[in-house]
Amino acid sequence: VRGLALSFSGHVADADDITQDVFVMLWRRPDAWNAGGAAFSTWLYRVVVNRCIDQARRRRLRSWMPFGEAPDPVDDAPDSVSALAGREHLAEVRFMIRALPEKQRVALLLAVQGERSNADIGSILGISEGAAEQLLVRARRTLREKIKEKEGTQ
Amino acid sequence: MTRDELNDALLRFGGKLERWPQPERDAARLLVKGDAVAAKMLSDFVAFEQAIAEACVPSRSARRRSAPC
Repeated sequence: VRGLALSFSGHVADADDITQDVFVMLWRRPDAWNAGGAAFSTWLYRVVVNRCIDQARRRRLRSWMPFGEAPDPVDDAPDSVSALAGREHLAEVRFMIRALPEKQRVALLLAVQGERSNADIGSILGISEGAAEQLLVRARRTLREKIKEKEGTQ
Repeated sequence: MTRDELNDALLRFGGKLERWPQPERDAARLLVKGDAVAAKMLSDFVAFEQAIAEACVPSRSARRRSAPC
């Protein structure tokens, strides 16, 4: 839950809020999941995705307010994965992923991080499998083009 | 399957052939077996997805303080 929230939002505070919110809801309303409906994991992903999108909207709204919050500090700690694979390159890819439209980003994260099938992604997002595929096609195509473009300029 | 169809399928289903629907998977395996350009398309796509996956994996410090994607 927190991994998806963290990857989607890009903010630790938001990811922690979403995680807490989801588990408090599960604690208070254990009957919220209907055993006759979607699989529990699909339903849980759907709850997390909805919370992520709501939180992103609230953050955008706050950014327009005069006393908007300060940005989260930049992570400057050593990062072994990034160091091995090329820290700058991964940072650029992260930036490109964050620049994707919300639904494309969620679909991609569910496919890459959650290893969910296209049908599952459609179910989580409340859209058809074909529509989920189109989100993934656009996300992958955009990222591939941007990465190629970036590599061409280096 | 043609190279264009392989490209479309990669964008739809990703680079892990074992997760593709059976007919597309069989057709793709046949294509890459006899076509070096298609095989390179597949390996390039797998590398591309690997970069995305690595960019999305939170490091230890990121798990505590900041975020990957």
